[in-house]
Amino acid sequence: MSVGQGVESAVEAGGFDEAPLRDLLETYQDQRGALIPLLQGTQAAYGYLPAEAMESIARALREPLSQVFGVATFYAQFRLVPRARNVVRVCHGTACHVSGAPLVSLEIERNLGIGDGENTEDMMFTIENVACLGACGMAPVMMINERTYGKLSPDSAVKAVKEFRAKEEAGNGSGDTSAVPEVEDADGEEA
Amino acid sequence: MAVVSEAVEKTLTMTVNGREVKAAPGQTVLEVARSIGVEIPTLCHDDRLEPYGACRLCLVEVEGARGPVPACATKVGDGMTVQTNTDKIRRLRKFVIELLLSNHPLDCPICEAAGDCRLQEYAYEYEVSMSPWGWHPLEFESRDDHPNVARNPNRCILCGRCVRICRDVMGIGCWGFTNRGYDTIIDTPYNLPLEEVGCVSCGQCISTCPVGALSRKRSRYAARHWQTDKTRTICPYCGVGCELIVHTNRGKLVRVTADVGSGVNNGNLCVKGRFGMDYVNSEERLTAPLVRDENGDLVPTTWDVALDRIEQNFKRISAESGGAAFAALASAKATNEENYLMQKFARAVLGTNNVDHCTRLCHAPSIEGLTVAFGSGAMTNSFADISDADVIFVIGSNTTETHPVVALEIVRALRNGKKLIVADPRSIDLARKAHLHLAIRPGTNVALLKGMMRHIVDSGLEDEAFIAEQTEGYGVLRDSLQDMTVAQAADVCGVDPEALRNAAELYAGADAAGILCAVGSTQHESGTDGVLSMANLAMLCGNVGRPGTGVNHLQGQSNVQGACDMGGLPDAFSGGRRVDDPAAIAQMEAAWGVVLADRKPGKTLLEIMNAAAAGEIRAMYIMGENPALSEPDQTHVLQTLAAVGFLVVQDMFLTETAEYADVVLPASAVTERDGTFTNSERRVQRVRRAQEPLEGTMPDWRILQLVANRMGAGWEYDGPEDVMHEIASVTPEYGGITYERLEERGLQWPCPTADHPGTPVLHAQGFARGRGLFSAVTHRPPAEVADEEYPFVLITGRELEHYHTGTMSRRSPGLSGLVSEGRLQLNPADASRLGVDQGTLVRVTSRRGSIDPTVWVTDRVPPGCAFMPIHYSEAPANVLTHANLDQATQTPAVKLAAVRIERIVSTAENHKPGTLED
Repeated sequence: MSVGQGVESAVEAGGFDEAPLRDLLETYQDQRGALIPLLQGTQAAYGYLPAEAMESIARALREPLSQVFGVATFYAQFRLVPRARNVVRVCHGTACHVSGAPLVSLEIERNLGIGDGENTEDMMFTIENVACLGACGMAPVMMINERTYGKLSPDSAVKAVKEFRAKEEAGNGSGDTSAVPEVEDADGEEA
Repeated sequence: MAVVSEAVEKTLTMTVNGREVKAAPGQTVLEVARSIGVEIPTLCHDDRLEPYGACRLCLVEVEGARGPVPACATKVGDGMTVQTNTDKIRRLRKFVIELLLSNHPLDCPICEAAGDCRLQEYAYEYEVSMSPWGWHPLEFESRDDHPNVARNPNRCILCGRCVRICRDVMGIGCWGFTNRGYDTIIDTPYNLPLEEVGCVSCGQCISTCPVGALSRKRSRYAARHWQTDKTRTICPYCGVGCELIVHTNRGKLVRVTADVGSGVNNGNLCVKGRFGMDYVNSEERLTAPLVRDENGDLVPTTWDVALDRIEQNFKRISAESGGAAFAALASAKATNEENYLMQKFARAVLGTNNVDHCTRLCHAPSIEGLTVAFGSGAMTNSFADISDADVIFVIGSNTTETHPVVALEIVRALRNGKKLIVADPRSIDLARKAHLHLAIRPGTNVALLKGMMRHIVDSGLEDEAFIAEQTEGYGVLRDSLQDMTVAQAADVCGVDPEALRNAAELYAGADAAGILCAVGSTQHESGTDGVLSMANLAMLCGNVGRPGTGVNHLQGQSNVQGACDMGGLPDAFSGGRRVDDPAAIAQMEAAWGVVLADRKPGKTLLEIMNAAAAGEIRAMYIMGENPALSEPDQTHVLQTLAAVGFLVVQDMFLTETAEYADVVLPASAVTERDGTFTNSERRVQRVRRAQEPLEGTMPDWRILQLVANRMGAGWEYDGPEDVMHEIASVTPEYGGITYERLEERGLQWPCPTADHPGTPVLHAQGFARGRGLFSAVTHRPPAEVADEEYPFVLITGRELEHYHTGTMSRRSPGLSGLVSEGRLQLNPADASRLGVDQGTLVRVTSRRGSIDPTVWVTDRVPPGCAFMPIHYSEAPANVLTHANLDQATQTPAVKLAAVRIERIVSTAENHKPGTLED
């Protein structure tokens, strides 16, 4: 696939800022195999792949939207919905899994009312189940943004999330919590 | 469309299962094996698609190869040795099927595909028991809200055939693979409704699905595959003439399919062919003749009473006023045999040449123009060679909607890197796919073509050798091009002169360039001039007589070509022999055993209407046509129909025209009769009876014979085949045509003798008239242009989902469920200026009358233009159109009208759709 003519017309004015996308489409004009770099660039610019951008990319490549959508949903790196302000990454690596990560996930999801990959309505949290955070020694582990929380129980995990939210809502910037052990640069073992 | 050509020389020798086989370079192992009857199982393969090699079921062993190879994607080589059915191969295939069954729902008892399911068939053939890995059926939820397409993703085996046929064959791409691994599902992007991702409801995805993941929603639980009788016949809709397989269960039509490898369509169908046949099951079918009672109401009666009534009145009028008081309308929807009998009835029995049909409203200018220029009025080339063109020039044809299966040839050509030029005021689908879209002002075709020719001549791009050897009158053309420069032409057309030059250079520079056109270039006052201009352009560049070239007009109805060939025209017997030619008259008098009373060309359709309005024509016999909706200036037409002394209408339904009749005769459906249709590419094809005629109805040919015999004709035709013998004996182009010879793929006329193979490309051995004739043509603007009072140019035309006046398509739920009302297409800029939105009711008024359609805001139409489909009796476009004529053919310029558009403010209760106002 290569970007054909008509970059200008491919980007339609809408509710979203098309300038970054326009630059990308110009960069990749007439290049073959441009789809994945375009999607990566778009996600870097917008934080996710907005539907408007997907449609513009399809038009510019003269490919059906279904094909662009297929590639975007095939690779785990691409997101179709924007992330919330804070990302809760729950580790489901082997060590965490055997130490109870499924229950931790379940409880967090129940508490926030969303599933894996979803955002809370107030855009406070996104949950992402990940394969390994590299802190197996402290399993089960989760991260909220750049902070790591280890040796979790379902309850302590929820508590951490709640406290984080409370601090956020109090306007304390990045939420902090002291109820559970907190690790900055944990050296976990690979399980 | 083009089934693998047999013409390729078979120069390779290979061995399949120990048997020596000749093969052609480029063939695949699968093709060669199947050609000698060796079956290789496939799931992801469809001959309409490029090889995919994904399902691993067609693995075969090739001597010397490192391992088993997919037969579908492996090209044959000289000396290749292939084994298709070894124990090893069978084990591998069984493994693949076991894997598939491990998550297949196995709900075969209620699956529509049962009995016609590849997975079911192969599981049985390879003796697969329950999967050794256990059974974990999929549990996807998906939307299933399309009116015709039923989805069950849990039955899906992810072969990707639906994805590929929609993307590659249709050029759309509704379906895609979503997600990865176990979560993979075939879906629309964002799980949108199909209608929102460009779906044209063709059902091609259903046709290629090897299992029951995609199926027909409307015929669910109607009949099992093995319960239905299957009859090959020809689609009754447009002039492409696709082959249909009509499935009936206990005599009732339940569904329609098409076979890959068969017919001009090679298994492809559009929405009308696949989902539009339910009208034959309509409750509204007429099942008894109707006559006017003493109160003036149409009431059911017996055939005898109805025929008595016709006999008395026809005889009375004949005695009082002679043949000149009669007119007959043949039908582009009836078979050749029926059209032949209708014109024979008019000429030999009633004694008049006042015979015409709705070709007068569409293609008479193409017939006239091409006859003048080339000596034959028919489409020069074949559908199958459209994609042989290096450049395809589409002018005045919205092919995607009006001839969808021909449009697939254009899609194929584009995939193969061919170039497409589209000249059309609207941004039709092809315009969006084209390399060059010339968005010309409505009615400026002649100026465009002249501009292109001027540039070709000025640049010395003409084909001098072809002009010198094969044509005459070139000087006349060259001189006539002097009255308009390229810049002036571009200005008249409203296009960039550079684009016009590009188009000219593209067309002239191609080895083979073909012109495709339809009523967008003929329904103008300058219709014949437009066709002559196309013929001029084609000859100028030597683009006639070879595959991929020519002037190819696509006809709107199933038997436009045949109705013309059969003499359903005022000036011609069958085969275009003129009715005032003494030799032709002598031949027909001998063949028919009569003395022909009328020896001058009769009246054309609009002349017939005018003569009827004037009381000169007192009796009309209309077969399968609906002039009340199809003719321009409807108000005038309805007054005329009401004024005709004695009107007989023969139809399946009580049409808007039949409501004015004195006698209505109930005709059988196309699926209830035998005969032939001749499609746009001159291919005579067999129409076969799939059901008994509905009780109370008769095929048109039988009714015509009854009526003729009441008038003393003494006809004794056994059936349509008997009529075809007579046609072949009096029509040179059809001389070699018999039902037996039509059995496989039909025959393209001219086919003069019993051993003639038919003619795919006309004028290949020189023009039919000897030398091609150039004509001088002048651009004349349309008679009605936008002005202050009527500021919009209304373009009329067709929509994908409906057909002609809607008598068939609007009674088919598979079509009416998709689009049920006529919408006025309006550009967003105009819509906002008028303060109207999607679905707003507006009044559209021309100098003739007004209609009240709803608005569809779309950038398909340019600002200043509006588009109105012709199919809807509630909002009949022909209330607005005018009857200004193309002088050469008396064809009305129904394509354009000047209108004004106003938002309707009054409440819906006061609004009576379709009422006629002046």
